Amino acid sequence: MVSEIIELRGHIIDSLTLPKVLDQILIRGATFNIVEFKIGQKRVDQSSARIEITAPTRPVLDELVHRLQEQGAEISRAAASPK
Amino acid sequence: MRELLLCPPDHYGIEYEINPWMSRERGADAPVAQAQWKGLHAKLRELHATIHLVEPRPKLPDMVFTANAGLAVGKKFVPSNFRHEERAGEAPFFASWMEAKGYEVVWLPKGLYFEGEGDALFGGDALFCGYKFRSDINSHRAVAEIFDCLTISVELVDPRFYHLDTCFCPLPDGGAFWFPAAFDEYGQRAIREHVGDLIDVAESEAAHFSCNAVVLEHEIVLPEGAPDLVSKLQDRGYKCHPLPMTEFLKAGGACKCLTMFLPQRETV
Repeated sequence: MVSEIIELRGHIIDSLTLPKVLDQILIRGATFNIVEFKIGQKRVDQSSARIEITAPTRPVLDELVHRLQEQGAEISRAAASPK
Repeated sequence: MRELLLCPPDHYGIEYEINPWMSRERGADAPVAQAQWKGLHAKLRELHATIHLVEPRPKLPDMVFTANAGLAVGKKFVPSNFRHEERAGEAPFFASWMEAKGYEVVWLPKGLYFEGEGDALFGGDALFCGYKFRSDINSHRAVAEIFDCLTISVELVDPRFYHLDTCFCPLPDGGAFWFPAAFDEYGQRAIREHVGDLIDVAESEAAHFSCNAVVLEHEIVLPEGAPDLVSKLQDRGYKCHPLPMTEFLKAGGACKCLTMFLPQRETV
């Protein structure tokens, strides 16, 4: 198993970006653990989430992360560890 | 009274292909394009809009589509970072024009694609932003920080409707008309959660770019070819002004693409 931590920032709740990303992780046979989640207090405040993704193989993980980057995900600097 | 930016189609033509509508083999008829653009200009003036013109430039045929110049809120203007090199040359001309008009020009970082009002439309208290074909979702975050507003990012999935303003048109009563199939399921849900009265546009009418409309309070200027939509809008108290837009449809544009609000919102 291999893992990567991604970060999502922005209006990820109102835009449904967070559920979209989590759904894509599960659909592709990976799992997630939400490491950190900060919800904006006011309507215009942005939210952020750090999500650890675990996939069965490196190619599956790389392909998944690539797709999530199209949804605004960024690879966290404190990332990737083989399991 | 609304102020709008237009660009005469003096250099307009199908000179490259960057969306499914464009075909160099099926060029635009220049005299007809001029007549259609003048028709739009006259109609907007008739509806009491103040029209400003930016000088068209050679070799920038799509400069006529001023909605893609950027996004203005109050006296602040974020110019577009065009995805395609073919249009990148437009940005400095629009930015200079806006600066000369007293706008504070705020550029996005180079790596973030953003195509202005084409992909960013206010509806209610939110700025709806389209992404994938032209703008990046990460540009929305930057725009939200600049204008301190809520942005609803929605993914576009049909390349024919490559900009948000080709498939979604907010109305001043908080509603909107849209072509739902242009969005992925999350985008559809996000829009449904934030917009009260949504008018679905049939594909046959959406294909005429009927969502690409200029809304001036209760007057709506839109392309011809959407009788059902016009009927629904009239039922809600709007007056519709259908215009021929055939020559601009050949480039994937119509009434709204040819128009930018100065500004789109005074405040957010």
